[in-house]
This record gives sequence, structure tokens and C-alpha cells, in this order.
Amino acid sequence: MPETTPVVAEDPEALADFTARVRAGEQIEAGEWMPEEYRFEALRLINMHANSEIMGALPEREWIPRAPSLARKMALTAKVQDEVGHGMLLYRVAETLGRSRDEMIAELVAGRARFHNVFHYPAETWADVAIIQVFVDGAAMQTQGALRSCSYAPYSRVLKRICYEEDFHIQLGLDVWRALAEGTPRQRAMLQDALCRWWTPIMHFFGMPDRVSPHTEKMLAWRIKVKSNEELRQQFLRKFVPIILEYGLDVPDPNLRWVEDEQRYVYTEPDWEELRRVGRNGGPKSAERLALRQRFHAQHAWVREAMSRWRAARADGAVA
Amino acid sequence: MQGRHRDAHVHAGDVHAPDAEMALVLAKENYTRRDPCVNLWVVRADQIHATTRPAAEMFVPATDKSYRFGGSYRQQRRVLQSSYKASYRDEDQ
Ligand SMILES: [Fe+2]
Ligand SMILES: [Fe+2]
Repeated sequence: MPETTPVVAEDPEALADFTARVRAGEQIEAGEWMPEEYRFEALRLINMHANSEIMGALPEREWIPRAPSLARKMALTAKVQDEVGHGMLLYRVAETLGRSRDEMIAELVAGRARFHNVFHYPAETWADVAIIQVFVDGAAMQTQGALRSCSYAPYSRVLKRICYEEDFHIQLGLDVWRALAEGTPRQRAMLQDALCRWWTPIMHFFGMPDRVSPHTEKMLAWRIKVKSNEELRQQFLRKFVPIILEYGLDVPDPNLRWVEDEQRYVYTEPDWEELRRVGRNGGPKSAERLALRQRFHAQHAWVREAMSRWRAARADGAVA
Repeated sequence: MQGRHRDAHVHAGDVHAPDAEMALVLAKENYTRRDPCVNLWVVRADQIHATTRPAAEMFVPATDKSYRFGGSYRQQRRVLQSSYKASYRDEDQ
């Protein structure tokens, strides 16, 4: 997918009508007229979200065979299945904006597409599963929850279902978290260690504070973006820092504190260079996870082929 | 998707599938993991006939349609009864 926004001269009347509708809080349905730039930005956002769901299934998938009990194994399997399901729903939405699923998947497995920074990191211990379910899904929930009121109706509908299921992921994660946090000193240490390793990627998750730019303004006005990166990060901190403190664990940032006057958290500025590197598929697990996705994509080619042949055969009337 | 027998089917979402059989499998996997379901329908998107968005105006009633609703009659009855009772009590005194 090209990285730059297309420059297209739009019909001014249609553009004005579109902008007025979005401004009035209306949503745009699939197939309706939209400015090319809107289509491009919405597609970029949804495509990246879809990629992240299916790549995001991978770190936790590694823990299905090693889950500590049958109940945990079943719940984790259900969670991972939800994530892949989210991917499927989102690729469908992306398709309504004019890209084929084959094209998007091919680009992803070739390592030419982006997916969320947090899914480029290893899940080293069972405690990482707790951190992913509570904090990574919790972070994603802030972004996705806000986007439920975005201007593209098919995306908004799908996000409602996704958020409903994400709530289960967070509750499941909190249960795993609680078991470890109230467990033996070794379990607590394992949880603290995982939290420390995940802190920076989670702070990165929301992206750099938005520059004040005409582009950001437009995304907000078109409601492809609903809240700023920093607003979402603050919202996340307000909800999730208390969970860490409640269980007597340490927030991995010694400078993090609540500023009453400003009603916000201050924190150590994370290394944004790392986020840029990881975003370009240069994270510690990027290559390995992409290779895995590639391997299964190739291994399952026969399923796709069988399905399309079956369709062709039916079209010929060979199969009733 | 039908939640219980005899309920109306409700639209749940769409799937990407080569044929109806596969669409049913994918719809089951995607939309019935939690919600109760006893029956699924799938239909090709290009087989749906719909009114256009600007046509929403044609559903807006041109005149007051309160006479179509039971509520307006209930309201009238309340008004009548309350005045009747008030006058009845007046005579009583
Ligand atoms: Fe998800
Ligand atoms: Fe999730």
C-alpha cells in the first residue's frame, strides 16, 4: 500500500456535502461516495487493525500448549480464536473500501505491511499472557472503544462486536493476573518482571503525541481519528495504573505520577526511535512471527485452492 | 441469525466466502461463538435490493400520524376520566 496520501481534485459540492454529514455526526455506509483521501486513510487504519489482530494472535498462541490448567487452556484458545475472528471481520470492512483480502494478506506475509508495535515482542513467561490480556488488550480497548463513534459505519459496527469480546479478554487477563499477584513470591516476581518488559511497548502503543498539523485536524474532523494519541494514553493510565498499585506491584516508571492540577499523569518520555524501528518490522520478534505467518500461509494454500476449485466446479455444474 | 425458534432473523454481519456452504460455516464461526443461535441465513450481497440513502425522506410522514398510535387514545381517555371524576366529586359536596 502506498504510504502517501493521494492528491485528487474532488467535486467541491460532493465534498462539502460529505464534510457536513460527517460533522453532523452521520456515518458513511459502504459504497457511498467519499473523498479519495478519506478512503485512503480509513483503509490504512482498518487494514493495519486487521493485520494486528491476526499477528496479535501469535504471541499468545505460543502459550496454548503450555497453559497451566485445562480451564486456562480453553479460555486462552477462545481468546485467540476471537482475535483471528476480529481479523476476518476487519478484512471484510477493509474490502468494502476497495482492496482485496488476498492483496492485503499477501502484503502482510511478505513483511511489507504494518501491524501494532506490541505484537513484535516476545511472550517469555505465563505472566506475559496476563500482561498482554490486561494491558495490551486494555490499551487496544481505549483506541477501539473511541473509534466506535468513527464516521465509517461498517467499521463502527464491527468495533462494537470486537469491544464486547475484548471485555472478556480483559476479564480473563485480570483473573490470570490476580492468581499470579496473589500467588507465591516467585509468581509475583514473574509478574513484575513481565510488567517491566512490557511497559515501554505499552506506552509506545498509542503513538507519539500528535503534532498539531492540518492532517491531524482533518482526521479528527472526518472522525477517522476520534481522540488524540495522548488523550488515549492518559485514559489508559487512569484506568490501569490503579490495578498495578492495588496489587502492590511497582509501576516500571519511577517518574510516573499523577498531577492533580492538570488532571494527568506525567511519565518518562519513552524512546520513540524504538517505536519507529519496531513499526518497520524491526522488532525482536518481527522476523520470526512473519516467518511463522508465511509458513502457515503457504502450508494452507491447498485449502484456499480447494475452495476456489470447488466454486469453479459448482459454476460448471459438475458438483450439485 | 435467529436467536430462538420463531424469533425473527436479525442481520449479524458479513463474511467473505466462495459459496453459500462456506459462507454458512464462516458465519457460524464468526457470529455464533457466544450469542445464542438456532438458525442462520446467508445471502449474496449483490442479491439484496435496497432503497437509497436520500430515499430516507420518503419514510418521513407528511402529516401528523398520532391517530395511528394507541398511546394518543390512552392519553385522551386519561384526560376524560380525570375531568369526569373531578366533576363527580364536585357534585358530591
Ligand atoms: Fe481483538
Ligand atoms: Fe483481544
